[in-house]
Amino acid sequence: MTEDPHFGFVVAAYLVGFLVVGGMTAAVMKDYANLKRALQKFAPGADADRSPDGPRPAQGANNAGESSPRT
Amino acid sequence: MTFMGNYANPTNFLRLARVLIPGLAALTCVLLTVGLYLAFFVAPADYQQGETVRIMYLHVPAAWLALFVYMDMTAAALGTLVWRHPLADAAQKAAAPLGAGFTFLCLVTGSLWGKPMWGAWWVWDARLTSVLVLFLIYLGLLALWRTIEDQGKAARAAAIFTLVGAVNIPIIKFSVEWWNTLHQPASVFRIGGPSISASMLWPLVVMAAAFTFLFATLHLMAIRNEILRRRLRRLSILAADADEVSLRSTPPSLETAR
Repeated sequence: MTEDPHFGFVVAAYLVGFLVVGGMTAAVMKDYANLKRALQKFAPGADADRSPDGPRPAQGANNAGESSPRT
Repeated sequence: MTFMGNYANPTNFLRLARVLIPGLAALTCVLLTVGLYLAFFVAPADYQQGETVRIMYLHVPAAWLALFVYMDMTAAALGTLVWRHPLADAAQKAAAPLGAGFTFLCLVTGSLWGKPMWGAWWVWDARLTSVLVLFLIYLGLLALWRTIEDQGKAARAAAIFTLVGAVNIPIIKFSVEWWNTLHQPASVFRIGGPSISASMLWPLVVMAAAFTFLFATLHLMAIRNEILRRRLRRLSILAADADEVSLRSTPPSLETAR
């Protein structure tokens, strides 16, 4: 396999593949860690994935997760 | 529609994502491992292209995902504009960088395959050019979300842009039939069935499945991030409002003492 004169192109393609896939995965995971850290400031000890006051009805388009607070 | 309605609530969606993400990630890892093993150690070298054909197991799934992600975004754009599904905009925004990534991978691996086979890194033929246009559309959408501050306006503008850009998808698919291109015609999704050998088709199918599950995993994670980002923005605004109210209610004597 490695004796092929064009094997370098195969290696380069898979290297780019690992970089792109790894980069996308790392970016999404880093973003999640940053958001969790930022949300911890508002509710220390709370789990960022869970709503602080339970499920709410949908509020309409373009405000997912941004429903107005209950007073 | 009931299913869609249930997961219109971000909290319900986050609960579903918590359950699905680990399983999808594990399945992606297994499929990628099996796919890479098949691509490098089971699939034969091509009688004309030699070992270079192994780039196909990366290039073709990336190309399929580049189109699939855009079709996913088109459905989400309809969800935003027609059904006003609260998570459709988040889903569309979360998919765009992933689509750009897969399209970039398709273009680079295609170039690395083209140089030894065609003798050129790039040719302006219809297939390559239309995929480059797709990449530019993804970048344009990312720029749109960054430049329009009002989230509602940005969502509507991006949804309209996505629907207009969807005209490029059939152009990409049929470019190799409509025009005389250097790029080869379809060899898997074609009338009459796949024209490539089963020994090469199966590794390709496994790699395509691995990439599809990879996208599903990353997309769920990115939608979850988008929901948390909006929650963070809402909490920041509430905290700023509370600070402003407490400053206004400060007794005048203290104000003058300052």
